[in-house]
Amino acid sequence: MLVALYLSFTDTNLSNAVGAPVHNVGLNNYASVLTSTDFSSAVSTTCWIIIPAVVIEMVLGVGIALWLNRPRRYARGMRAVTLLPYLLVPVVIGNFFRMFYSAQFGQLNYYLSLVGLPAHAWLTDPATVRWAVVALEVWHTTPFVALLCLAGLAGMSPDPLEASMVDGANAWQRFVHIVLPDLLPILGAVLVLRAMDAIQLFDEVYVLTGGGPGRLTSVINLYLYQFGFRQFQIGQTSAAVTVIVVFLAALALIAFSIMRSRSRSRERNSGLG
Amino acid sequence: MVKGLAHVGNFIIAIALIVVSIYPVAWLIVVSLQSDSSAYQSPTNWIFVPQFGTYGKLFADPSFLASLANSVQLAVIATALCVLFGAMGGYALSRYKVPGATGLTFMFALSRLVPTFAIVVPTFYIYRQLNLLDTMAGLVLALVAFQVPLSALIMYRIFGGIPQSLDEAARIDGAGFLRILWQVILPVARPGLAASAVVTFVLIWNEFLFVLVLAGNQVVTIPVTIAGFQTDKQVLWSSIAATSVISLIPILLLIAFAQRHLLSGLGMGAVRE
Amino acid sequence: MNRRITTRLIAAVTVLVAGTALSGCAVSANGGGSDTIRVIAQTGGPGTALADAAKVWNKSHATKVNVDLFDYDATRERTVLGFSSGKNSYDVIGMDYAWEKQYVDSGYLEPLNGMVKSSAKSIDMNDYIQAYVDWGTIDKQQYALPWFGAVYMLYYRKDLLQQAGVEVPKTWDEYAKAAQTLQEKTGVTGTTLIGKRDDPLLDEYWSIAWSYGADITKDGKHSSMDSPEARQAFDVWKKVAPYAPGDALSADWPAAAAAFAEGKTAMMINFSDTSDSLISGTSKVKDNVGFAPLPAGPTGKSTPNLGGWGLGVSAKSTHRQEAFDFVAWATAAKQQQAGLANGGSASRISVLSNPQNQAKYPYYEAALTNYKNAVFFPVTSHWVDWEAAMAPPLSSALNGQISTDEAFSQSSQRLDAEIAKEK
Repeated sequence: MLVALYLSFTDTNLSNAVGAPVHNVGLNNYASVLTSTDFSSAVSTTCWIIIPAVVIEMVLGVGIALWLNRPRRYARGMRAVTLLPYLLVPVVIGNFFRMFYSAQFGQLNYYLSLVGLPAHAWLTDPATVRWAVVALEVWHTTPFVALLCLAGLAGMSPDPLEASMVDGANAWQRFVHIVLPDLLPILGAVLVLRAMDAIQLFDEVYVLTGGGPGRLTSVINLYLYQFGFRQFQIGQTSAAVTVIVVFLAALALIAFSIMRSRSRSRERNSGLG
Repeated sequence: MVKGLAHVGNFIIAIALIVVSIYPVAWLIVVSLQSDSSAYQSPTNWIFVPQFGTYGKLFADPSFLASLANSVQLAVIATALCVLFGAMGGYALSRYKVPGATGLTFMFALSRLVPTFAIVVPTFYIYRQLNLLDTMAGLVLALVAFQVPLSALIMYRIFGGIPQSLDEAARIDGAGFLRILWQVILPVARPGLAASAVVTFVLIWNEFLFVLVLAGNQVVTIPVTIAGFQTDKQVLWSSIAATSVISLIPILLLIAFAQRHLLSGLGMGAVRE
Repeated sequence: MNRRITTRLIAAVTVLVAGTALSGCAVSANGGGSDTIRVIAQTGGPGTALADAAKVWNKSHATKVNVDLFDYDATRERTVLGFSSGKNSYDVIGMDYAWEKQYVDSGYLEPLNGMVKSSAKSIDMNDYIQAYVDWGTIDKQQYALPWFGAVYMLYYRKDLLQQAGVEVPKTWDEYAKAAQTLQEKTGVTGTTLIGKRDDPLLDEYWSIAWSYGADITKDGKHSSMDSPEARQAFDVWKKVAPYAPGDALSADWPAAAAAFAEGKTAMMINFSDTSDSLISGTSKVKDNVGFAPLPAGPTGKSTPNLGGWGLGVSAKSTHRQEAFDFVAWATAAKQQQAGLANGGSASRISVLSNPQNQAKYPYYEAALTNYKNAVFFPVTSHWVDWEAAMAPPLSSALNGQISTDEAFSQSSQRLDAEIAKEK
């Protein structure tokens, strides 16, 4: 990372000749990264895609976990089945969804036609292409959220729940007043984990759209790939990485300290060490 | 009446979950048993005479078998090392006031935030110098280095959930650091270890970018092999599908094997914040 | 020493070890023998053919050849990373010609004029497709021998054209009209459109735009993209779009070829080396594919984009002559002929014009005409950067996010900014 920091002040380009002079360009790389429309659009595209994706995943994941948590026949089998999407190779997922959304060969359009809906070019229409990526990401990672929530639920004491049932609380009241507060710490942890991972989104989008149409699905990692790996402009890429890491570190630091202060106050309240 | 409705509702949820989770995998299986062009059928040809030619071809191909062997070797060794070092590091962090431990934990989390591209290219350079490119040792090293922070973080949480009184009792009996870890803590933490091993295994098994850059033709793994079936002239769908199906099997076996531990283990790690 | 301090020390060391994860582990040498010629090239049919040729070579030569194949992008990544770390281990460098100038400028490649001259008789440079020899020559030095060829051409469904009473289009206007008529009369989508960012989109667009007299740059120093001709060509493209599959903007070469092979479109423009998949295997249109020169523009010229790869010799190689000998041998007519069955794609006129081959591969004739007309992208060290500058606005304009005028002024400005940065 220190190397990256140094490089970010130079005009290093790996595709130059070995031993070609490297110039110190000061803050120029930062200036051109911060003013570049490609960079700003990559950042906004990433937010546009991962915020809905993570929110939907969390809601669905909690719902699925609650549903799976009740004792039921086949519960174990269902748990294993719902985990499947998380296990597939991301490149394959991208490829599958490309076929699934396809306007010509698309299975999605076929199923829609069964209920009388018209065919749609999901990956070309600017209004739907980002949602197509969101849906892919939700499909891929909801099982992970559900699994962690399920783990949290499994570790809970059933006593308060039973007590509230005796008190006649309905399902929603039970969820809001008893389950949710207990689940909150784990949800916090899952949120942080997912947010971190979602920023790394690359393989699937690279296969699905290549960042297009226009720059509608050029997420940060695609942008870095383009600059760093295809154009080998390591100086500028390092600057972009530094900007991103500083920004994320700040976010993480805030999240970290909030979590710490919370868990401390919880420890005080519950009187445990 | 209400109960009947609930039953129907549950049934519908169950079916929906199964269909959504299994559909792509089922599609991959169907395509793997037909020709490449079956991928373009819409509606999908669900009823067909299976042809095992693609599987036969793959298993007769020495380079495919080599990549399968590489994947297994890499995932097993790297996962074992990750869990080992993760356990040691996580234990140390949770038990001792290592100078700057909080900062270190934070750095661990941060290292997950750095875009993979920013890590891969410097690693390539270092490997060039050390002659580690295209070697199994190099891949193991890189993936362990990349994944250990996550393992350590999970372990840190798990060990944090185990009462210190256990250690103290052992220490009074004269046990040292490693013995306490090995004989007292790890047995209690076994579900957590298993869960973190499974998560790590899945991540390493599906890792794409590191292998793509750091491996040459000698130590290619399954995800890179899959990507190779898609050239800029044609997409060998049948081979992609068959390889994906094959690559799912070890993961499924592992999960079936560890399912008992998976929930309680992740629960140990996640509930404590 | 106090026990507690010891344990703390152990703990700290453990954390450090786990955190930085044991750098400086055992070094294992794996450089390949010094008597081996190592080749880096692209996967796919020609790659398979090259690897098979190497096996034949190894039977009769003391210096063995080892072929490493990677994906398109990965081949370039490995080459650049290898050279820039000063430890390239390849002797023969396979490359898309679009990368050659950068490879030359950065000193990766050995000039070949001398070696070509001394073995002129056995090589027969005149038999290679001239466009590749030209493309491979930089500052009058040959840096690569043509390995495999690919050129844009027009594909059509004989049965559907007959059914709709449509002639094979000779100009882009006819092509747009044909797409419309075919779709209306046969119900099959008129044609394909390859619009995935970045290179797929640019390859097809410029195959049209050059024939309108448009240029990416006239002097290599300024963009000349923001021209009426360029926009006129784009308008034709937009006219075709409604008669192309809905997912044109995510379609690349194999996606278009699959659509055509599945019988979903009545025409297609695509690289010639996708042809084999249309006339063999599971293609549903095997017997009905027609091949033609690319339509012409108002300049009267047909200007198909030239693809294809060359094989060069590393300037850092310790056995450059042997490496060159292998390249010359592998790209000679005899090996190209042998490679056809393995998915090879010829870059030699004698192979393409051989009547037996033409009977077996009916697209050879049309391919030859297209090779004759072929145009290649500007030779620049920064082609990949140029692509990244030009493509996104055009992609946005294709699905109506921005207007054509906006697209070309943006595209042109971005290209100018890119060129300015290079100085």
